Amino acid sequence: MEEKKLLVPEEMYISCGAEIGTQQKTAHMKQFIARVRNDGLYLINIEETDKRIRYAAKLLARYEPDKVMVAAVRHYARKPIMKLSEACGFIAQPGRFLPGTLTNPLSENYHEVDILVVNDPIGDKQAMAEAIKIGIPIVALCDTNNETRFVDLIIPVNNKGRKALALTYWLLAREVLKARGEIKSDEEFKYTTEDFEAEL
Amino acid sequence: MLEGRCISCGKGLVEEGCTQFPCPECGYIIKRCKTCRSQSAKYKCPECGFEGP
Repeated sequence: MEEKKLLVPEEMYISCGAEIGTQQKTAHMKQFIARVRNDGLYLINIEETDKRIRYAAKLLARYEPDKVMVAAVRHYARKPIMKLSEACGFIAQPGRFLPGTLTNPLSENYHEVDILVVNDPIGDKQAMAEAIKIGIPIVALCDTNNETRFVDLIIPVNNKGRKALALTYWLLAREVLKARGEIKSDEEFKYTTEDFEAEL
Repeated sequence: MLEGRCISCGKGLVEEGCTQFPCPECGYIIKRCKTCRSQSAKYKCPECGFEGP
């Protein structure tokens, strides 16, 4: 049987720590866990990560760029989502998610969007609560300790590491542009993973 | 309120918290009810077989 090629070599996923999970495991994320390390860390199945990044990119490419919002409270995810938004034209919401951003039309920060991408269902619960209220689908980066309630498409990946986040959002940006037909090959994508990395 | 029924349980989409989105693979409109979303119930696209969440 022919083996499907990953978006980047497996070594790159491993060197960025994309497969590193946490010492907790939830029932929702059990299906994406490959094995447990001797120190108790659960490791995520890289093939599933790769597959889900492709699906997420295809899904996001089906929406108008200015109708997609990416939210992340986590410090290390702020630069990657800004870069993703710059590359794909999405709306970025780094840092604290102001209540009413999706639900209060009188708010200065109000945005009317059709889909939400969150970095962590635990940290970004305000964004998720508002998305649930207005009935838009949610795509979330989920680690082994996350519950996936109200998530419509899970990307199982390390959502805490600096390099893992940079790689994930870099791949997502590249695949969205490919799915839209704006670039034909990987080489045409002008950003590098370093561009997506947050400073220490 | 959305029209149609939940892809996982067949319930009508009458309450807050329901959603719909195109299947990433084929574009078929997938509809999910609040209960199935809150339980992270699996769904399968009837057109292409894509499984989520």
